[in-house]
Amino acid sequence: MSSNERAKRLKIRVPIQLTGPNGKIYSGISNDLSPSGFSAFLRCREDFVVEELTDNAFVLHGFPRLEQLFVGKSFRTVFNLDMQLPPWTSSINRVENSWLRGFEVFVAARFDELDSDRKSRLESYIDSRLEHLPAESLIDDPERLRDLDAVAGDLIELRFPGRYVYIPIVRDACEQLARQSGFSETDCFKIKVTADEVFSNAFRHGSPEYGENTIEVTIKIDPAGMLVRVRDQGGVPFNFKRFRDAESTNPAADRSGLHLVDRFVDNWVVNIKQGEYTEVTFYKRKEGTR
Amino acid sequence: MSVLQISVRDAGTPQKIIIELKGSIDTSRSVENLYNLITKSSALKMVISMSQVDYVNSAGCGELFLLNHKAKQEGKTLVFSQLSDKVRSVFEHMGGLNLLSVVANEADALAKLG
Repeated sequence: MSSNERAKRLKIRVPIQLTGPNGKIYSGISNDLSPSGFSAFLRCREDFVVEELTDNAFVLHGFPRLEQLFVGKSFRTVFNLDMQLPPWTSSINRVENSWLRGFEVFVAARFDELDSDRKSRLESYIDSRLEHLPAESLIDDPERLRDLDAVAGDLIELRFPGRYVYIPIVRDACEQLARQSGFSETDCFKIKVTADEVFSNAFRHGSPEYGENTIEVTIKIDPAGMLVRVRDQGGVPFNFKRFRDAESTNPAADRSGLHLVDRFVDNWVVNIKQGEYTEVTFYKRKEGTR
Repeated sequence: MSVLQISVRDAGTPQKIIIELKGSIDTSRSVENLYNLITKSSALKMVISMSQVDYVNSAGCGELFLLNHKAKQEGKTLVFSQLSDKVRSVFEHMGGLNLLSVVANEADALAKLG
């Protein structure tokens, strides 16, 4: 994606209100607004939400009651922007669990039939706000980590804001280090995917204050393999039994990124201090070092 | 996160098209244009050629499952072909080989679409 295309997404917190077909109102915060759609964290006080979200912590799919409530439905959408913009409708295409704080769920939506005038005004608004964002808000540059050069015995410690844009940076850095360390191409890919999934979870579930949170990544290279540890600031409970049950009963729709982690690395472990942090550590051994 | 390049080829009949993808499938945004193309196309049978897709993660897989589901609801059939070994391994562990119609090559895909 070119920097211009990327810059069309506004990564600031904007209060949002959605009104469903039955008149029910959901309020929350959007932290990603583009001319074609948005994502948002909404307060959702339906009775089943806590139960369904707790059971599905770390699982991105399998929220039938939440999906029934949101997915494919049109919502009257109002952003609390510092400009006049009439409400319009948007259709939610994805709903996920959040970090369980305040009954919140994550939704992604596309605007319905956004007319050219409104679209143009929204684009102008985004452009104007981008000019005032600190440069750090738009960092999406893998070049920053290009100089990483590790040999066996090295310990690399990195700290990132809890922002989505850092996911490809972290995964590419892990892949690059794996390649430098002599992993096979297949294993470099597996390390890349695993780092992506673990860091994505840290962003989705462990960064309740978005960019105000820090995600710590520690990478240890040893002669036999590579260890990566990702610690967030969420401390969301993780139901390991449920994860294993989903694994054994094999409903594909219940598969999550952690199923990839489980298959792609030799060992992984989750340490949680509830409400404070979640730390996922994985280890990938080089072929022929067993 | 990253742009998925999309090109469309004729497959010999108006009802069939071949959609070639290039790049990474890692977010809902990466498949947004693909989603629009499939839902707006008048073709009912589509080959999704993945030979130049070099990266997919669980979120990308989930988006493809959703896309396939939407297409089915609209009476459209998608057949995914030419997955690289790496992408195929992600599909396999995410259950994609059961949920999606996946074949080895374009000829098999067209044959499957009938």
